[in-house]
Amino acid sequence: MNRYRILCVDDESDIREIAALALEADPDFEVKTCETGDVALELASHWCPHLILLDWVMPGLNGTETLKRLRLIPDHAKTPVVFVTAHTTSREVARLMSLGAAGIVPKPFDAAKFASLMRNFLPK
Amino acid sequence: MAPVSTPDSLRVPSNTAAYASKLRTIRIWAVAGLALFAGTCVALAVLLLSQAQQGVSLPSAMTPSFEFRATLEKLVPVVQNAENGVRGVILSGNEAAQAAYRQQRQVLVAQAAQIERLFEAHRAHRHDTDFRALLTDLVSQKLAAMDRVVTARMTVGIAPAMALVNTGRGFALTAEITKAIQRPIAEEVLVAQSLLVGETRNVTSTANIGLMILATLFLVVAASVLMMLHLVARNFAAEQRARDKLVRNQELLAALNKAQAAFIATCDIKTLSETLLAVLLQTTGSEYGFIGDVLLRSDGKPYLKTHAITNIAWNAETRKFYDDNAPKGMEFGNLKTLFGVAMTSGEPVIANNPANDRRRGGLPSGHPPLNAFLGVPIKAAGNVVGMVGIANRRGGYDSALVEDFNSFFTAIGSLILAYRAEIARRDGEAALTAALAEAQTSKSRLNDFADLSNDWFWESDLDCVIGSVTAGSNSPSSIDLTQFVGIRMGIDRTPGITDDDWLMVSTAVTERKPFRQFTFKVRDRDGRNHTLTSAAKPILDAAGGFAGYIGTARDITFEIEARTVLDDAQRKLVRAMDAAPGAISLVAPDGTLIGSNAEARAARERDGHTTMPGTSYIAHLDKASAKHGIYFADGTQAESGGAVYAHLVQCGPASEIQIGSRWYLVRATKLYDGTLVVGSSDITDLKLREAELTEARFLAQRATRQAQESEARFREFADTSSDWFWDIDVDLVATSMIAGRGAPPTDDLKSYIGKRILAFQPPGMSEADFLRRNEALARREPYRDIRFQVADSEGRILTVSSNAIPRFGADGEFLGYRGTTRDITVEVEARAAFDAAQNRMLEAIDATPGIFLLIDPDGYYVASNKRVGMMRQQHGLSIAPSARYADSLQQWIERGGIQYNDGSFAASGEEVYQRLTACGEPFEAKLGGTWNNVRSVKLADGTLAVSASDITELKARERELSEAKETAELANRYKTEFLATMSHELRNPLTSIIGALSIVIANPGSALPEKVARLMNMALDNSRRLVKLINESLDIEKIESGLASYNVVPMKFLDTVYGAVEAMRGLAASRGVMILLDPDSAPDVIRGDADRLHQVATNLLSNAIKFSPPNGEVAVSIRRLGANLRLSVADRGAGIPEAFHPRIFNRFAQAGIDAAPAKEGSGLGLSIAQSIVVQLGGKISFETTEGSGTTFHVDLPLADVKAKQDDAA
Repeated sequence: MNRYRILCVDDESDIREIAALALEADPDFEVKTCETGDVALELASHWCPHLILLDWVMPGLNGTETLKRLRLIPDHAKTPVVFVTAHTTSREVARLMSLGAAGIVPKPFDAAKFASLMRNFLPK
Repeated sequence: MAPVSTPDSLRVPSNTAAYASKLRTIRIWAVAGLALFAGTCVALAVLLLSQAQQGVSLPSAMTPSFEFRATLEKLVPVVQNAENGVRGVILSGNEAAQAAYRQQRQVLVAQAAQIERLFEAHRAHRHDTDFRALLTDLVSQKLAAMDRVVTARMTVGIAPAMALVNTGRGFALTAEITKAIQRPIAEEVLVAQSLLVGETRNVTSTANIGLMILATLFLVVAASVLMMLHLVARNFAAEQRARDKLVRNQELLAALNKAQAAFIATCDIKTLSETLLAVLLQTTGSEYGFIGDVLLRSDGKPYLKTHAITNIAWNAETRKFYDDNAPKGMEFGNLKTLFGVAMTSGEPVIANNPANDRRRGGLPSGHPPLNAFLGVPIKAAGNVVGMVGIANRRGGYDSALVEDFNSFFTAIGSLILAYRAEIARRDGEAALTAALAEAQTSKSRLNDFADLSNDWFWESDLDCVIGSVTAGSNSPSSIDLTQFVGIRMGIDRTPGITDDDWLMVSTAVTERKPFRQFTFKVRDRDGRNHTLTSAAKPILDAAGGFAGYIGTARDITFEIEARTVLDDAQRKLVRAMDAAPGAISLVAPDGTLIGSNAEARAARERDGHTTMPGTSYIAHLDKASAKHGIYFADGTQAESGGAVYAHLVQCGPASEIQIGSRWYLVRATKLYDGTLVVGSSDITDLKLREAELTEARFLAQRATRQAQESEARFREFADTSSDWFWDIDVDLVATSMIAGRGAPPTDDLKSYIGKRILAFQPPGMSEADFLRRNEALARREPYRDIRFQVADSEGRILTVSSNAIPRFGADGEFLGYRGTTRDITVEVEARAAFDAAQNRMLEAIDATPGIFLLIDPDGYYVASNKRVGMMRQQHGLSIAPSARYADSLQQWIERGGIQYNDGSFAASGEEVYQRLTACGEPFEAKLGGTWNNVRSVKLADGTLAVSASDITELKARERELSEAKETAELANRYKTEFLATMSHELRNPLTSIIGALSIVIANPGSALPEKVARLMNMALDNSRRLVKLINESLDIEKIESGLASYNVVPMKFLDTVYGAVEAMRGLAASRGVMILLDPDSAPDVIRGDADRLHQVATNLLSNAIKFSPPNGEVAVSIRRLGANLRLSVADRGAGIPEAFHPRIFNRFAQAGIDAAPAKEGSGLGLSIAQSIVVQLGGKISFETTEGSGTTFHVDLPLADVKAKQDDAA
């Protein structure tokens, strides 16, 4: 039985797939992916993920907007959100952290260590 | 004086007690007799009736009074004459008084007249007005004093009136009256006295109303007495009352009479008042009382001064006060008293209950009780002059009593007035005495003067008829001027009076004006004619009316004769003087000019001065001094004419005096009569000749001296000079040639001796100089700087220059020339060199492509190079700039303007010029289509040097460069943006690639064929390289574009390095390389950015690992090196080829990039490391040996040191 539901949001399907594959290497992880922030919010409401991975730059709702709206959903006020993004200058990192991100994983990430990295962000 | 027909009862009783007993007897008789006479009533009535009928036609006793009146009438003319007397003042005094006054007046008038005469006499001689003022003042003072005295006497009134009756003449008059009346009974005397007093008052003075009233009252009393007699006869009771009153009146009158007599004799008002007070107290039965003056204080309030007062002292203190003050009169000023009310109101005050009278101010404690009080103010001419107060009459006082005593009170008023008048009279008398004493002094002085006078004094009456003529004691006795007495001035013309004088005197007399120098002639007893002159002035009486003339006369016959003789003598003298050589002036001792001879007159007339005798000689001298200046022989200038005169009157030896430009020999002599004879002769010519002689002598001496000095100087010059000295004679033949000690040796010049210069043109002499010299020689004029050449002893050609001046003899004859020649070779060469240099410079300037101008300090153009002309020509301006440079610049402004580098245009040529003269920084300006870099410099002499180089090309290139730079910057920005975007965009596909490869390779479930796995790994490695390349590209881009931010904090470098070593262990292990961190590495703190330094360390480690041979070692250490902390990373690789050293920190630089296959890495690592280290204030360096390895050093300042450096910064 999977213990953790992880939602991965990225507009690029290859990355969604890679991320899902990398995470599902851990049998405790149940992964769902979606393409846009709107869908992510929808999924978050119904599926109640334990961890949400967000791309920053996306068409429609971008990552930060999605995070802000997510926090409006009572169940997700404190759900850890990790940004997986290519924008990792210190200023960008500081900004995302200030919005309440649990962590930032720069692209390209190491798929082999991705799942174990994510475990760090999950509630124990 | 026994009564004749008057009843005894009318007589003045000897004392009050006797009178009282008599009165009592009468009363007894009256009571008893009433019954006794009852029976004989009818007979008595008939008798009384007949008596009453007789009484209507006045009793016989009064009849003589009419005769007395008639006698008095005889006195009236005297009084009336007095009324017509001097100055129209009514004289109430007796004749003696009038006479005394007239006498005094006459004395004074005479005295005044004498003083006036004296004055006139004096003035005729002295013109001393002060003396006149003095005398006039004295006289007027005397007259005023006299008037005061006499007026006082005359207006006293009562005293002379009393004198009339009682004093010597008065007694005589009384005697006359007595004789006329022939009934010297006491009653008649009394009546006569009262009548006399009244009558006298009537005719003498209306001012003294008091006495008139008194007189009238006396008449009334007298009438009353008569009436009383009838009443007594008719009604005993009435008679008794009347008798009572009469007796009282008689007592009072007697007392008054007595008191008056005493007063007149002694003028002792105190005794009089005491007597009267005693009578009053006794008569009225009063206990005490007072009689006093009422005087006014300065504030106008009345106060009482007692003449008599009863002693009411009640204790020692008041007794002492009384004793001290009563004799001289006590003063009471308290108006809130009963007597005070009487004083102020002027009405009698009757207070029969004083204790309760509200008018009363109270009594001092101890004062005897006051039961009744009567205060009667005594009035005269409506004013309260005195006061009578009585008190404590038994039964009190009433108005009837006041009425009964009215005459008494009035008499007291008269007495007070008389007393006051007497006081005034005494004062007046004292003043008169003083005035008389002074007048006596004046008179004696006048007499003294008059004694010395030889003038006559005369006076006229107010009709200008000469009344008296008095001869002075020294007047010629042979002349009798009394013949003129009776002559009417200005009407009766005597012989010998000129028309002018007659007109003068008659006009003066008509107008009542003074006149002087009225000349008339009179014949003396010997028949000789005398000329007299008279002066006169009108005199005025005290009222200012004309009162006649007083004048003096003087015999001037001798004076006239003497003057005639003198004039004649002087005329003769003057004629003699005129004939004498030189100017002669005669000066009177008082400095006035008596006369002068023709030459002196002519001299003064030349100066425009008057020559009139009688004018001031000093004034002449003053004018001459002011106009020409007068100098004494010693050269000093006379300060004024007075100084010259002072010099003259010393009558010293003849002295030379210079007046203006002329010299005079002046000699002054004093004659026996003090006349100064001043003779002067013009010695100007003499002086001039003398001066010329002196001058000539002086010049000769000087010339000699100068000649000697010149010679000496010449020798000195010659010794020290480098010139040749030469002479040319009258024929222009060179005669001598002396070389100065410094002159270059030459024989050429010596060879000129004997040559005729005029035709000789030495070598090197220009044609112009030749002509110039010859022209000067021909004109016998000096010449200068004639150049030619000579050869020196060594054959060198010298350029020489000659100056020469002509010489003339004493008579102006030409003697030749004297000249000098000087070697100017060096000068000429220097000048030539200078000119050449200058020309070269100008050529150089011309050759410069720019503009070059010289402007003088006044702003005017001096010179310019060709470029200026060219530029101006190109733009259609005149080739030469205008004289004033600012104007020239203005032309450029009008021809397209002058533009500055900032794009603005110069407003005016003046503005540009000012900017140039400021000599500030060079500036760029565009004119005529070219840009110029303009600079200006002020030369030592103030000349402004302006240079401008054409920078049009430069400006164009500058602009291109600027544009290119802008383009490049833009491109760079695009590049940066592009790179950033691309880097990000590349990451996504790389993420997918790396992710996919990683998953495939790591998939434990599917073992890949070895070849596939190797290829998959290759793809993964290269993908990772690509990511690294992208990251580093972004890093360096950020660092270089300044976008990178540093978080600089104090940090332990060792920790960072340790972290980097740990991070790199994986890589090292994969290569089989050992990283050895020196355990002794320094743990010091630096200030830096841990992340960035981590990046630096990993880059260095990464490089070291990459370039280490397999199983190699990388040694890492941190040491303190001076103020720095040094990180060293050493490998044992191949080293860095030297050719690559310069490029090692360049981007994408990798050694062996050409030769060896590229090592993995972007080639950006060292570049990034260097950028970071430099940014943190450190430096990066390396040591390398090809074949044995490379060590990179990073030196970063220690924290405390850096802090200090920062602080210092």
